[in-house]
Formats: sequence, C-alpha cells, structure tokens
Amino acid sequence: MSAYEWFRIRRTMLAYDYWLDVEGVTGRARKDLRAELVGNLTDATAAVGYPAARRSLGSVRTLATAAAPDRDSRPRWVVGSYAAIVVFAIGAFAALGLITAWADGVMAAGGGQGLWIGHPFFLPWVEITVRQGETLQILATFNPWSVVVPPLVAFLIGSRIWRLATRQSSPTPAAQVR
Amino acid sequence: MTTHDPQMIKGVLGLLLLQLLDEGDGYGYGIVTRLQENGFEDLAEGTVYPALARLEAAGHLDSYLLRSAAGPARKYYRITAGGRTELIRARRDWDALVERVRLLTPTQLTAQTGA
Repeated sequence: MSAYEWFRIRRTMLAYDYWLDVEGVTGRARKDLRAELVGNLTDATAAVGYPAARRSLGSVRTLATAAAPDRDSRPRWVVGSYAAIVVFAIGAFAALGLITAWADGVMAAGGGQGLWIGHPFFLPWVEITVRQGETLQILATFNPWSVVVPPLVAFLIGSRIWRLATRQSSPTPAAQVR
Repeated sequence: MTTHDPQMIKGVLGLLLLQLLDEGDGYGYGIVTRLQENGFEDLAEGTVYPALARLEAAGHLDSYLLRSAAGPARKYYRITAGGRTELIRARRDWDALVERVRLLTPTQLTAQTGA
C-alpha cells in the first residue's frame, strides 16, 4: 500500500470517527468500530485499490449511524463543542462590530479630543471607554461571565447533557485479542 | 456478472450472513469477498458491515479480535446458538416464500385452475 493510500484511509477514518461521535458512540466502542473499519478498508485497499474500496464502502455517516445501536441515549460531545465554538465566534465578532460602531458613532458625534464612557444599546453589560488624544484608545470592560455563559449554554444544549442522567449502558466491546 | 435486486438482497442479507458464518467464522472484508465469490458480486461493504453490526447487536453473532500479519487486528464474527436458531427459522421462511412464489407462476396457476 502506498503512503498516499495510507493517508486516504486515515482521512476516511477521521470522517468515520467524527460521525461516530456525532452519533454518540462512546470512546471504547468507537475505538473498536474504528479498528474494525480500518482493518477492513486496509484489506480492501490492498485487494482492489483505495478508490474502489472507498466507493464500495459508501457513506461513512450511514455506516456510523448503523453502528450506533442506542445512539439517541448518549450525550453528543462533538456537537456540543461545535455549538460552543460557533456561539463564541458569532458573539466575539458581533461584540467587536458593535463596540467599534459605538466608538465610531461617539467620535463622529463629539469630534475633537476627549473621553467618552458608555454602554452600547445591544451590549448593556459592556462598558466602553473611548479616549481621543494624540492617539485613539478604545477600551471595552465586561464581566467574564458574559463571555463564558453563552458558549457554555450552547455546549450543554448541543451535547444534550441531560442524557447523562438517562443514558443506557454501553454496548459490550469486542472480546479480547487472540 | 449476476445482478440482483438490491431490495431483495437486503431482505435476505441476514440469512446470507448467518448461512455463511455457520460454515465458518469470518471478518468484514473476508465475508464480503466470500459472498462475492458465491455470486453476489454487487454486494458492497457498505451494505454488509451494518448488517453484521445489527446481527451482533441482536445476539445472533458474537465477535473476537484476531491479529493479522497484513495489518491491524481483524474483528472476526461467529454465529451463536441464537444465531443458528434464527438461521433455521429464516431458512424455513425463505423456503416457504420460494415455494409460494413458485406456485404463483402462470403455468402453475393455469394447471391449478384447469383453464
């Protein structure tokens, strides 16, 4: 097997692992499923080449869905993590834009040199200080919780954290290596 | 190359796999190649692997890992006692279905009705 085929198999396994995690398959079971598929895909690649082996495998998402017997009972940590990252990114960009717009508005209205302190309409918990001297200084002060809480809430909702309290037992992993 | 109706194959895939594994243990890709060598060339891995997982989850198969010189350890499947019982039931149902389909052929119908 060529290094390129090895790389392509690993890339397929990354996608499979992602979908297994999305389906809520836990670490040990996921590792077993991954090991099984990498073995089968390696054999198939050695026999017919990677393109044919991959084509015959079909969608790794469908495979992952089929391999998750009780997928609806476990938290989805990856989904929660993505939700937290998205909420944080959107919040950061929105805050940056609103703060910049507020400071720009203050400077346009006031003109000249001076010090302005205020709260933008959409971010009342953020205090903005604009100091216009020889240089322009913009300072935003906010409670750290306002940065932590929205992504945390997104993570908890996205990962369906309440399933920890209602989850079923994990499927039995494959028996020992002979 | 023989082609089969995919829906029909899906309906009897469990029976095929149990039948195959009743003759000897096998691992995923090995099972696929055995099926292909036995006239099911159009059966894809993406169809067989989920079916194996379902049979294992249902208790008709269990599994063990066996080291392979060619690469990673392989997960071998073997039929359980429950799987053999299921195989007998599925084969009986299949035989009954084939018999009913055979009786419904126009020739047979004509013979039965005397038309």
